[in-house]
Amino acid sequence: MTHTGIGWRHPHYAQLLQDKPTVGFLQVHSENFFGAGGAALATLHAAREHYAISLHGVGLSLGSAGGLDEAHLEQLAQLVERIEPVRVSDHACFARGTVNGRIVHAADLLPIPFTHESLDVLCANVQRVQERLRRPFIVEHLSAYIQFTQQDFSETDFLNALTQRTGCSLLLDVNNLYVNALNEQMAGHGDDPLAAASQWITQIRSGSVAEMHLAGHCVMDDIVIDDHGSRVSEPVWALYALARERFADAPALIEWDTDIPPLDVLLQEAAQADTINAEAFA
Amino acid sequence: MNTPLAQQQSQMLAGLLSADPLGTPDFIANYQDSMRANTLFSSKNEGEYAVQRGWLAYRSHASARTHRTAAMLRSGAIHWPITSRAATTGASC
Repeated sequence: MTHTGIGWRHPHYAQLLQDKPTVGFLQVHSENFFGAGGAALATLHAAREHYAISLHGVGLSLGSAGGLDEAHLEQLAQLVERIEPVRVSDHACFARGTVNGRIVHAADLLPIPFTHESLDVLCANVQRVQERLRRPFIVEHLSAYIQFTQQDFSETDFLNALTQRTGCSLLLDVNNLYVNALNEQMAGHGDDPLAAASQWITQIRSGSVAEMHLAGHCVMDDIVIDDHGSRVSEPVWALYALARERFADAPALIEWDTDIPPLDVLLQEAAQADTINAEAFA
Repeated sequence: MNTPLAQQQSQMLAGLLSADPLGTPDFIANYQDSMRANTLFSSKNEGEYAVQRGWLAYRSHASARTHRTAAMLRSGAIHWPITSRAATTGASC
């Protein structure tokens, strides 16, 4: 099992390149490196000399019924060719659509219904991405805060169908599962978030998960936000131990995007994940 | 393309556009123009490293919006083709 990776964000660029700590891989957000040159790409190339890179996109809008933006996909393809990442991923969401004849992008990860129509759209778009990139793609499920009135599938059945039809893999965000379960509980659905999230993990096809994410969340009075702004919570660590047993080969990542702490804190969190990995395979 | 799903997504985006009391023009971006100007995920006037900060601003903005829109949804000001799970609009990774 490889060491756990970390999300590599701007405050840590210089220190990481200088200290070169041992981490399994670095995750960066693809769109931040779409420029064909300049300091951003040079920095990423410098990191690539020492680390494996996982490209994690936020803007492909894989669930958009209007299809993909080919220019966006082309920029991603060029970045993939330049960096040769170990994995490339984005989200099972939509952000792009037409309003009053104008194509708009929500710059957010908006949820999609788990319906046959939505599955067809998602599969077609994922296939298109894989054809262009000429490699398997990875799709992350959301921490979504709403539920559509009409659903043909459970979320896990929907995602299992996606991986079976397209050959893509899943990115399992353990924190997302727990955030969703907590919000379900706050909405009066379910009384055991840990059990609900555990069941979700057991319902995903073994062998279909290619990367796992760990992050912190923010508990408000009446909602839980997946803000990636704190240490991984104890329940999420417990869920990670379960997920690690089920998806033994999937590398894990510590994500921290809000109120980013010193690099050492991320490395501590990664070390804790490594400890769980070691216990799982002891 | 005007499928039921496309219509639903257009409604959701239009709802976001109309719902925001602050009218955040940066949130719903004109996609093609933004991509051309490389401003969707970054701030074009802040130089190369602003690109790296783009996602941080994006996340912070999305979180702030999630809270703000949650309050609006609970006020009953917006109709969504959904049942509320936690009475907010967005999602995150």
